[in-house]
Amino acid sequence: MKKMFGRRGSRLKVLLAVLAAIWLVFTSAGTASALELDPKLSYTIDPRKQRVPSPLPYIFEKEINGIHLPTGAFKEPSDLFLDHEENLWLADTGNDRVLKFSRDGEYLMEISNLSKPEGVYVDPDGNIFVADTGNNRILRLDPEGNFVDEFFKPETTLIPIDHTFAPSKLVVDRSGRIYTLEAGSNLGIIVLDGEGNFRGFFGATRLDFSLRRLVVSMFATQEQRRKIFLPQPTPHSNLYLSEDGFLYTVVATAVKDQLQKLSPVGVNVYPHSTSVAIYMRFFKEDSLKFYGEREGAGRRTQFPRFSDVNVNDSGIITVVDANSAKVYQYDQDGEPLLAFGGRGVQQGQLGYPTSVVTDSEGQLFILDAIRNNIQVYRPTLFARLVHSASKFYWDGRYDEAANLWQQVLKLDANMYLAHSALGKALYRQERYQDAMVEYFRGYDKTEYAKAYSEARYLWMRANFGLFMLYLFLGIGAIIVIPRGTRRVFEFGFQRGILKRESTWYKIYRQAVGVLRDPMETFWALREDSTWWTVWTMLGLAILVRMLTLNVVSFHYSTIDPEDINFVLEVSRILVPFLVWVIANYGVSAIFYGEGSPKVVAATTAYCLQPYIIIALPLALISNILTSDESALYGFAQSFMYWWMGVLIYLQVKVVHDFEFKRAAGVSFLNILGMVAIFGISALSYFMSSRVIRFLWEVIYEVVTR
Amino acid sequence: MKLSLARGWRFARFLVPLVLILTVLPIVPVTAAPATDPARELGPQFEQVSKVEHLSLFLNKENSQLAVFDDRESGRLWRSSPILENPEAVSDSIKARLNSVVIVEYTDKVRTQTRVADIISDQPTMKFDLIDGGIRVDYLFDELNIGFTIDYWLEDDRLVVAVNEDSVRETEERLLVTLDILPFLGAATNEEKGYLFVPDGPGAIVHFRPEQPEYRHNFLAEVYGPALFSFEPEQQQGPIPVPVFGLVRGDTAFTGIVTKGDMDVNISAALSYTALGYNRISGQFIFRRKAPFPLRRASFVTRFEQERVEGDRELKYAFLRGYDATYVGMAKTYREYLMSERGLTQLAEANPFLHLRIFMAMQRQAFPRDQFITMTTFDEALGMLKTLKEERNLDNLRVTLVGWSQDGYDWSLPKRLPPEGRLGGDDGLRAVSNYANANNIPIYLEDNYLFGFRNIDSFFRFNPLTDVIRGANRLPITTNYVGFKRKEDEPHTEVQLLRPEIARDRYAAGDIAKMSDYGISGVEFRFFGKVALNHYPILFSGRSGFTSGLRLIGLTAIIALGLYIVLVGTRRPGETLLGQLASGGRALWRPIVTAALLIVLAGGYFMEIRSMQQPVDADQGGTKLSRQDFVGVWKDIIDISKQETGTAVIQGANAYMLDTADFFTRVPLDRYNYVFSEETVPFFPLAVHGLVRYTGDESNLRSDRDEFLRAIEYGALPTFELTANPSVLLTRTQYNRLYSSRFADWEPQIVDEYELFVRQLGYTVNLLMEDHRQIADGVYETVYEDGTRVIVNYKTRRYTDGENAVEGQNYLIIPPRR
Repeated sequence: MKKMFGRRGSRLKVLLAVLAAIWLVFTSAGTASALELDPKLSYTIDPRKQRVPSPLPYIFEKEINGIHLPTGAFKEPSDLFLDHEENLWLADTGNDRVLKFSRDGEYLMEISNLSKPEGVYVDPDGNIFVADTGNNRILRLDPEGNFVDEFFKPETTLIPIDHTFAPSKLVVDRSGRIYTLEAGSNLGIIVLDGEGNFRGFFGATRLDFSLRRLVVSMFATQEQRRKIFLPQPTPHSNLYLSEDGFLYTVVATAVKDQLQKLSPVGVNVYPHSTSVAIYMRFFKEDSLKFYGEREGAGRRTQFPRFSDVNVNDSGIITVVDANSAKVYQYDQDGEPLLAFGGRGVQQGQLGYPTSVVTDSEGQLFILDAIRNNIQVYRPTLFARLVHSASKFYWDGRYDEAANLWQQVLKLDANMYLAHSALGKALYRQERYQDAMVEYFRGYDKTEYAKAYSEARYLWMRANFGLFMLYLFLGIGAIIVIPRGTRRVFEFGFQRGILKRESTWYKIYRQAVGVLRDPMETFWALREDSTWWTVWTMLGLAILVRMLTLNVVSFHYSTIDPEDINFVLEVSRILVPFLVWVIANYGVSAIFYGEGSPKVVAATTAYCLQPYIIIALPLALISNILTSDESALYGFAQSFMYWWMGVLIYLQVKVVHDFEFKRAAGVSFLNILGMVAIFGISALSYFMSSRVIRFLWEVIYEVVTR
Repeated sequence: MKLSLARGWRFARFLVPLVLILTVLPIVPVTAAPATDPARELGPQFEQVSKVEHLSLFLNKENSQLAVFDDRESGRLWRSSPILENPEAVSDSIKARLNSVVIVEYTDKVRTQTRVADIISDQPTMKFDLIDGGIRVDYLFDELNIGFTIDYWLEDDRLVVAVNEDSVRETEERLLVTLDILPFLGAATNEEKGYLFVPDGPGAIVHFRPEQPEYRHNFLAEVYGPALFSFEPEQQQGPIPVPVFGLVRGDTAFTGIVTKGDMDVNISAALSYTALGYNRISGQFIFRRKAPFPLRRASFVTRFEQERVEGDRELKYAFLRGYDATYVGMAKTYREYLMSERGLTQLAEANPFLHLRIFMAMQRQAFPRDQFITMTTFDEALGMLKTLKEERNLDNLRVTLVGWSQDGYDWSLPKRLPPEGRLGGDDGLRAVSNYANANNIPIYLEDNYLFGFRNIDSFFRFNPLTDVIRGANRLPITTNYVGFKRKEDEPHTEVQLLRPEIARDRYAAGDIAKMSDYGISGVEFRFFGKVALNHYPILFSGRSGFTSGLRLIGLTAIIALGLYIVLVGTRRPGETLLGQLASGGRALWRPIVTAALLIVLAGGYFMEIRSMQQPVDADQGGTKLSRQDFVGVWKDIIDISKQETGTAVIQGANAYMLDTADFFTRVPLDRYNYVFSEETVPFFPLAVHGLVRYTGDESNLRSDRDEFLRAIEYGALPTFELTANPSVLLTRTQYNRLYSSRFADWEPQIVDEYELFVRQLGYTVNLLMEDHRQIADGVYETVYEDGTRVIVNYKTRRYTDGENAVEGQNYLIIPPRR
């Protein structure tokens, strides 16, 4: 008995081993990694949010770690500031002190007797402001470091009484107002005047509209509200005051608008998500203005956590992301310029960057809280060119900028922003066709369309005769094609290649009939339909879809040739068709509809005709349309869909012989039926996939253990 | 009786260190004063085992501690364990560790965790045998049932340490993971001046300092890169091209060269800030590697492999003195080893050249057809050569064509021939090679014998079941097509790695012969000098049984569906099945298609059953390949290239490839692990310059002038990767790493670099590097054997030493005085 069992067991194991072996081959969860390790991770982000390699923008120069200085090692430093004399100020939080270094790393001064200071600011006159976080105060010192004044929690009703005031970062504007942030608090930027009196909040981040919150605030009592967890506005994590009085801030934990440029009245002048975009995100994920990069996918998505922002003389904004340990640079339009860094053990990689400053020579000083050092980075020729080109471009000196962008492109042909900028210069020189090429390379669809419209105008002016000829040819084609098709059939009949009773001719006649007199034709189809109709129409629709994707113009296209997925595109047509046919037949049958599956499928297939006829010519025409004429394009498209909708309604009505009202009701129920089918299939997919996965896991474990 | 013995032993265990301290301390001053009499310094526990030339070997039979006395100059004693300055301050476990000559890492049945055993705390049984020039010690850890024999002997002024494969004993309960022999040889405290040398890229050093940042504490890296691809990007490591390490202590130094088992060794180093308190470095032999073993579908557990890595292991230590006690001396020692034992010889002629890679074509994924992007046609490549040769008078060139194969760069691998027709095809390539041969320009074709793509075209070319490399977890190793991910969550293009035997027998053997017919001078092998993998075969039941059954069921189902569509789908009302088949005339296609389908079905059954009857081939998934075997097969491929064309060029320069070719491309000229090491040093150039020719990264992809200066300092030859068409065409492809490559843009730079590297510095190519040193902050000097000096200034300030001046970010070549 035991022996038998043993043998059976081993046979089972062999079987499982074979199964697992088969599965092993088809699994992609193999060991994977990059074979050729490129230690230089630097790239630009193109408008499609893809990374494109670039030369290194910054090169590691040296580190300042205090170890061989009288100061000793730093401990959890959290803020870095570069004053007007280009000295470095470091909030050495873990050691309860603020340190001053020269730009070359020479130790100059120490301010002690602090408790966990998290921020330091020095005004142009040399007055030192320290956010003495642990002591809940802002400290003001004279340039020699002597005590002048201290400010505690401001007296105002706007800050809750039980709130502990723990200033974290601060800047002081020219009129002596202090803007301070508290770590982890969502009160926003608190503004104090020179005497420490409360002057209000500034540039608070807003919450998006949420129905739940509205309901809660309308009906819940104070007590209930306190118990219900409600989303809070995301706090700012750092700020930077530029020479021209703008306050740049970063928001650490948000999923949009993490970088803001606040005008002196507290308005974010930066490209940010509009309220329309916030609603649109349900349909189009990247409609929000997003800075930095998401990493990973699905539930494991990791969002950037910007810890500091800095702006250099050329207006280039440098942002450090503590989560990915990367450094991003943006231009004044908020467009991503360069990215480098990343967490790692290499030169040019970081541990946990918490602060960044730039000096007049363009060097970056990055504070690293894991390695407890200040890393100094020197810009390469590439970065310097990009920065000055960007500055000229921002100042509106496009031609000078173009010159520099051209030099950038010589070093890095991947720099899409340079292509766009060059396109702009060419556009201004009225070299529209060259501009189009550059805009195409820069993946700038709007500007491309503009340049195209100018180029088209010039072409029409020069070749008016040719234009008219093409126009007549086009109109002629519309007239000739239907007749020509009939002629082809006639020709076939005469020669005896085709018979009048052949299926193909029947399908052709029925198709034309559906377009001319749908009611009559659908009625006739009840008696006389074939499955060939379905294959033909679906085949044509798929063919048209494929051709459309390929011929639609660059500025009207919604998907790039690299990203076209054959299976997906085919199923975009097949799946709705199939589900509609099933739902239509099923629902109608309940309501005593008269159509058989064949009739339903064939008539539905004929309803695809408007798409087959219109989509391809429309895609072709998009090549001669500018963005001004997008209304025309949109109209044609919606006309096509409405036509299909009407046909489908008539199909339901006629095929099942319903009266007007009932047909509408059944159509609506059909749609519900489609939803139900999708839901059920999704459910059964999830359930069965769980079972299957469980089985595989059991097999796997038996085999690999 | 037994009990009392054990107790006595326990007593002795406390007594021995005490006696040791009491006897040694009063006699020898703590400061490492030159010892004249090693026996006196070592004390009575140590006895002299052997003396060969300048070295004598001492052994302490209590715990097998070693000491080597180097009697050159005033003499220097190297101990296997440091003498503790104040033993009271150190915990017992650390003391035990420090006093061990061998540290054993082992794991248990579950194979997830490791534990460490050492000589002092685990008290293995030791047996001593005298061997020629030294001693053989057999260690047996009784409780663990782990045993091995280590030979220590002196030979040619070297200390040799070897573990014999046959001597390793273990049981299933306790499995050996690593073996660290002489981990504390010459270990130094921070009071001494010195540094550790690790072979990171070209070489890197880290100084002993009173204080170092926290992250600069440990270094553990596998020689020649990791053998198993890991999931975690953090676990990736940079190139470790040579199995050499070293430690400099004042005016003395030692260097260790792994001479056997170098494919399975870690370089392990630590600075004194770790708990052990000493700056130390050693070679750690690997017996089992970690791999992510699948637990469930998407979850893996990291375990050690079941089977042991086999092979003999041997380490040679050389002891250096005075002026030689630097990384330069270590490099020279390694060079000697390469020349005497690995058969490398000095290049007879300088023969300098400028290397040109011409990138020809790439495809961009698109729909419905992939877009073919021509970057350079064969015609244009010929034009480039003519321009450089005839207009610019650059005579010494070497050219590699990249992406010349069918469908462009890598696209159709493992199929490569014929040369892509859209670039000019056979005749185009012949025209280029004819011109090159007529003008003495060696011309190479770059080729990749590792990748196989799983797409429709190549699906039938190799079997993704049996022809691919599998890791220790028996899963196929796949890789990103290119290292650069466009998005973080981008699914990688699936690339399978071909088993080297398949690459050799099925592809290289035939293809290289055909390639040589085009008149090329050699093949440049991608990955050959960078990658070495293990292959673990999976046991297949071949095409028998279940697999065949599944195939037949699938085939039957497909045919049945076809028949159903043909017969039932086209049946007229009232027609019978037979009548349908019998109907002639217009409907003749129905019986024909039916018959065809049935024939396919029958044929499928016939072939499948025949293959089932054939004996199951045990080797279908290949035999197990160690890294050594793997490289061996690749070396066969190199030999094929040498036979057919005369030469081979290797990309990367891991030491095991150094004796196969005399030209290496894309050799690392900068270190990878910046956190541990402080300074890059040209160990690799010092060791191989004059023996082989090498190039670094492409000049046109440099980010900074520093890289140019480094190429001068490290004696690398210049290389460019160029195209005729503007590089912007490559932007939306997977080869967008080539962001600046247009020939017209780079022509002046080629001429400049040719002038410098070939005309001015060219004569140094076959010279050995004599010396290298830092002469000021950011200023370095390289000296060749004929006295040529090359000074490079990385700083922006001008450097002057009175006699010579070097501008900022510039270089100076001082020819030898005659």
